[in-house]
Amino acid sequence: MPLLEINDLYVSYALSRDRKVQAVKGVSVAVERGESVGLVGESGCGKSTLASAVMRLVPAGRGVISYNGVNVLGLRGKGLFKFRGKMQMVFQDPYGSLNPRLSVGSALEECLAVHGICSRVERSGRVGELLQTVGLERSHAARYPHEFSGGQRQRIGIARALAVNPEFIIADEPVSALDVSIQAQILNLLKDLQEKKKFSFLFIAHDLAVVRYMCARIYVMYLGAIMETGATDDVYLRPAHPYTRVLLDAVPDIDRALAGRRSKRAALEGEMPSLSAHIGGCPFHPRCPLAKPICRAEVPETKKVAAGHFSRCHFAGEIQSL
Amino acid sequence: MIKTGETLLAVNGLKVYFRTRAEPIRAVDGVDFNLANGETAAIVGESGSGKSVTAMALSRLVPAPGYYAGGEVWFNGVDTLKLGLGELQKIRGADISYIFQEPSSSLNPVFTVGYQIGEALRLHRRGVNVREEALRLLNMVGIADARHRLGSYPHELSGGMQQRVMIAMALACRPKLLVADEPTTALDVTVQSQILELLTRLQHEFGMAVLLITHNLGIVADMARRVSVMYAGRIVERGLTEEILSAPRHPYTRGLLAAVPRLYSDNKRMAGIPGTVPNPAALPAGCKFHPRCPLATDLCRQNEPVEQKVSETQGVKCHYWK
Repeated sequence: MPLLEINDLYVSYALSRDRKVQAVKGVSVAVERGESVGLVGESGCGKSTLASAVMRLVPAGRGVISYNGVNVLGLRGKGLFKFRGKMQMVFQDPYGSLNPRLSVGSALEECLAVHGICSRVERSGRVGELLQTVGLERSHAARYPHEFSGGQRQRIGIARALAVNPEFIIADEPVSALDVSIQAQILNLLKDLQEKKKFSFLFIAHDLAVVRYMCARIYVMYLGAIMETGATDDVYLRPAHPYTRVLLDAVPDIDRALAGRRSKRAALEGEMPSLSAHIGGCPFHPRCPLAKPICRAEVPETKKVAAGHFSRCHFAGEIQSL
Repeated sequence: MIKTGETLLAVNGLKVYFRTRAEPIRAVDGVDFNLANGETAAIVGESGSGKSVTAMALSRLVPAPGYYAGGEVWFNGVDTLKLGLGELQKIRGADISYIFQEPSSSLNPVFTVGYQIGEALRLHRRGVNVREEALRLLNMVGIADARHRLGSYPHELSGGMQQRVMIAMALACRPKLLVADEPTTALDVTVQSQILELLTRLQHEFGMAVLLITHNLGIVADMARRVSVMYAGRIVERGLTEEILSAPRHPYTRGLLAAVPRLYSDNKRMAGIPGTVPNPAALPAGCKFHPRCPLATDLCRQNEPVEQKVSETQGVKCHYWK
């Protein structure tokens, strides 16, 4: 049984009393214990909303989220508090998620105190250990968030997530605000920590190369729905959905360019429509280079293309020829 | 008509410093490069490397307390650093124009798109039918329903559309040089590929030179014929794009390439670069990269390397490039 299982989940936001926008439309995602799973998609596809719904930061509509067999959507009070101690988040902008008026040491001690991780006397020692775990120094505990560089702040964000010894970490675009050389350091840090501490990992990003580096399995999301999922290698080498295909082709990649193949530009016309737009049939059909009448009329079923590799496209078997 | 191949821009020993209460900050410290008519070249670097300040300096746009501490910027036979303001105004927006990372902050929120495109036309191209010309420009950059969009305000457009408007404004006066400073950094990958395609197409049409400022080596590989790598206000390596990407000589360039996750690679560990980008207010002595360099010796700590030729087209500032 997967540690986290999301089944046919819907999340909507109210725009006004009688208008709402469906940000997540029937998403199913499963993450096994100790697994690293990637969730990719362009901005506005609903990937962060999905994470927030799992953390119970936004209310979910229809659907099921179960964690270790427990219905997360039914949790309240103490149960919810305990669940949040097991599942932690790392955000894109650590500066926005650290209190500027608390020293880093006090901020980390607060996590330890709130979740009752260790006794008062042990706290400062534990904070020192945490800082060292993420590649900072014990003495940094006395400093304030503004005294750190972007990369260091993300290390603090990671330390804060690790403080409660979580079983599961959701990282939402953890490196997209960082410089290239720093990004590699943080990715390696997360990778090492995951190997050592064996937490499950849901890694949300728009950068496909980063996800390839970090995750063994991947979900591709578009307009609030999962378009394709499978082992990262399978999906990248044999994409079975036209959206995945154009997404991969659009990335400017050094190796491809050196081999004389530039990114395929303008393979995809237009931009992602608004989530509130009503699109019949396959949500991708207005931009799809393969769209046929059936795509406008019928929502495609999820089809199995290989072991563990699924696509929601009427023509899942024909993507290679694109 | 612009003659391609002739030198359009020659920057010699450019120094841009920023006044502070203490020592000035040397953001750009002795940069040389040139650009031929119709050519696409890139400056690549991380934040704080001085790449954007270099770009701004070309038409003397660096704001106070920045000042030009030395060097020359020869553009089309004149040194823009020595021009009077009136002469400079004739070049800005007409011969040299810019597009920036965040189109939403470059566009004025209280004026319509049509008005803002017209501004450059009224200033530099007296006598044209502003409305007709603005319409033609919007069509040229691929904005659907352009006649209607002339009356739109920036917030009514998506990020990709805003960047198209910026490009229309930048090209309104048929510049000889377009400086694109991180033009796609805030955009999704599919929209990025559309904008890069648009830039490539327009460049072929108009024969203008493009100076691309970016941190993304994939975009460099896709777009540029030549590239200069900046670090701590200096160009540390330069050459043809293929040379730099397949046979980099400077340890920084090598580190940067090793820190970029690749779309199609075996998942071997990225090396990355230890440490952080140096604070421009407190640069180390000798080679500015030595604190992070695996090859550093006492020579590097004391003497700043001068450029050495690797080939006819490639140059590197490193004592140990061999």
